[in-house]
Amino acid sequence: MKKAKPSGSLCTEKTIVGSATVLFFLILWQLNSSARLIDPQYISSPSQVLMAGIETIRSRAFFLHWSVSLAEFLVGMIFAVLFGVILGCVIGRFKTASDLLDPAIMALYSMPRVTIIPLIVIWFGIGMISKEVVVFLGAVFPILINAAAGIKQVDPGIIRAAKSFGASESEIFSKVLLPGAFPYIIAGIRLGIGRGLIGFIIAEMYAATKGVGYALMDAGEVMKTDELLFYAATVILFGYALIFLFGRIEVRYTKHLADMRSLQ
Amino acid sequence: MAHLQLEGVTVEYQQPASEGVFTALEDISLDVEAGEFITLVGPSGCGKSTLLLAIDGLIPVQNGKILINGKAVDGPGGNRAMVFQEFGLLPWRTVEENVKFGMELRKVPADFIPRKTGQYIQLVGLEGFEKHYPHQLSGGMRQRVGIARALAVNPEILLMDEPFGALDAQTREEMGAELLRIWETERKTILFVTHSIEEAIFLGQRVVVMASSPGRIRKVIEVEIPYPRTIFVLDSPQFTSYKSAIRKLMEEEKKSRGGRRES
Amino acid sequence: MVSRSRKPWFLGAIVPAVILLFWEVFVDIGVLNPFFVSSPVRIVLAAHDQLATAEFYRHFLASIVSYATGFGLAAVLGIFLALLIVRFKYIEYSLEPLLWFCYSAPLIALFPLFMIFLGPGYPTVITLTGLLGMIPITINTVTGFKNADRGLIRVARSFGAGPRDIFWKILLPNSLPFTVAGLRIGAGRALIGLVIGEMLASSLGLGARISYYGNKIRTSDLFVEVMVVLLLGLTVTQGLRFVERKLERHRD
Repeated sequence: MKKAKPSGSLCTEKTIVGSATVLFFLILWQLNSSARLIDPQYISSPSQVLMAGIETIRSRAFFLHWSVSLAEFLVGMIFAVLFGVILGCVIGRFKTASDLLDPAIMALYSMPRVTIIPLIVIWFGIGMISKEVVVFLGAVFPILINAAAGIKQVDPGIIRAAKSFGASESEIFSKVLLPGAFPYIIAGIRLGIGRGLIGFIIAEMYAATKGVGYALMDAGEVMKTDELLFYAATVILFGYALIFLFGRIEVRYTKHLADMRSLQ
Repeated sequence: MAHLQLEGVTVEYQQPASEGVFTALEDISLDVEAGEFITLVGPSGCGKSTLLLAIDGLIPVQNGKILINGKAVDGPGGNRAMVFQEFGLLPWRTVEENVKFGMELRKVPADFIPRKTGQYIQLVGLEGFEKHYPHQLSGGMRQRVGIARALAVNPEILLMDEPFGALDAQTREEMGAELLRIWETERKTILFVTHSIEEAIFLGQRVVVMASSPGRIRKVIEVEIPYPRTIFVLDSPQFTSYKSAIRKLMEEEKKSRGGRRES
Repeated sequence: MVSRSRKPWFLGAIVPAVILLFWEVFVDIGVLNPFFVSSPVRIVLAAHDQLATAEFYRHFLASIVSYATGFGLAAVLGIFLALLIVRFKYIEYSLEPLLWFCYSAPLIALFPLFMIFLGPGYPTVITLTGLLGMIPITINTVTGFKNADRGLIRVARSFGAGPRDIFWKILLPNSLPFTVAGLRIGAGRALIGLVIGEMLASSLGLGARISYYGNKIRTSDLFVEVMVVLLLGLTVTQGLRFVERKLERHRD
């Protein structure tokens, strides 16, 4: 049975048929602008979208908005990774930290971040910082939780073996715990990216002066469907590419975790 | 002076649910000469694994002394290395890198590491598998990696805690023969813990029969079967008489323990 | 190692309790400005005031209606689509990659397009809710069907079961827990869609209130709304978790 996950092989039959279907609909869409089945003002056409896109690139608006959004995203993600991995490792290693913080973390994790975006805007304004905070808050929890889980699941037998060879606490951490938790951390980062993306897009849609989210809402307000679609396409493709990339990194690092017990 | 001296070793655990103190090992005394192959056999809970951990310096001893070359043991050290039942291999490292792991931790100078790695991988019969990952190997092969890793740090004493316990019967036999071959080459002092009476007699020069509640040495039996030992030894009358002797001891222990429980 | 069965539950409550305490104290002694951060007591008072107004319930009801409609549509369409995918190989091949794509890609970027098509208010909100909720439901249901134990199917065949029997007696019951899990995840996503839709494209509903209070910097009222949304989400997901657990018991 072929696996359907995107992190599987690239060129399965399914991907080919799937892409063919997408291509088919693109062609239909393009033909619609001459056939006029649906008013092109609403849905535009691939060629128009592309032209509008080229225009935004020429006017440098594209770069302006994307550079702002990228910066917000990267800053938020970097802080989330640093903070999440470090705190996650502490929680994973030390039971008291885990007991104290686990319930609070799970509670915060299940809160829909969208609801506090207005609050964050109140506190941090409508500039880039509020978006960075939203990205941070979105990404930090999956990273933290996964890092902690990754550390906790490291086979205690390996830790015991390392100790018998004289490993110090820091050596156990760097040579056993961290590599052991790595696939989980990558999974956490992948989840964090997804949440971070949605975070800054919505925050920009809600209250911003620059950024792709703002550009999207702006285009929507003046019914510039083609421009809207162009920005939307870039956002969606960017997001998907990132998550796909991390999915593959994750697969590469999980290969060695193939069930050890199966060979016993 | 014996290589390893155990004098009145006692290990106790504090019970968490305030049930008082649990005596894992009581008054263990034993002398092991350099290059000897000693096996320890006994029922579950008799403390044989605990004894190995104590000798390795991983758990504290409440009473008594553990001396190697006359010096007391104080934490894990360069003169011992342990092989574990669950292998304890790092799944994200290749065979080669796993063998290097012990040497890295013991701070073996980097120049020596590649040569020793190759040497011991060859000794345990894993040439050609250097770049494989543990999950690609069978159980027996994984344990060979564990043995190579332990030998590579050049310990004086090799502590083996039911190393073949997770393997199937056939692999166990093969690994036992392999281990004897390795021992004849390297001649380390080996302490080998097992559940299996047959394995204990087949491998060891002396068999330490242990009893539980509290963990102690019941008897030490000299196995006067010459080396090299083939698996045909298992059917010899001599072997069978050792087997029944040990079995009798363990049955006696079971009965007297049962009696003690009823009182 | 004996495990400590009596893990002190209050250990977990310490951190939140301490935070709440410091929050209230710092505001009252003037270190923090309540205008920006409110305080637990103020939030409770604001909640008390809000719950006494008819306006609150008007918005609450609007959200419930949108959520129920959106999620309901997501569930029905999602499961229906999943069944189509499972039944017809061609549909599976053409739609499934797209489905996985939609699961990870930030579809929210298409939101302004919905506004153009459907205009502000209920249509956009319900569509967004439904769309975001539908994808996990479909994916999980499909996975549930595919997950069926091959051995079991073989056994059924040897007793003369036809494709209809296998569908109703093996595949369907087997996929149920997966579907419920998908519903649970979908409920969370649908809620996010609801709040976003109302925040950005509606004047009615909890999300709209959040946006309103945000603009007016009425922090305490804002917190109250957030709590309401939180409770709503928790109720639905916990309810579905409960159903999931009940189903798990029957499996093994």
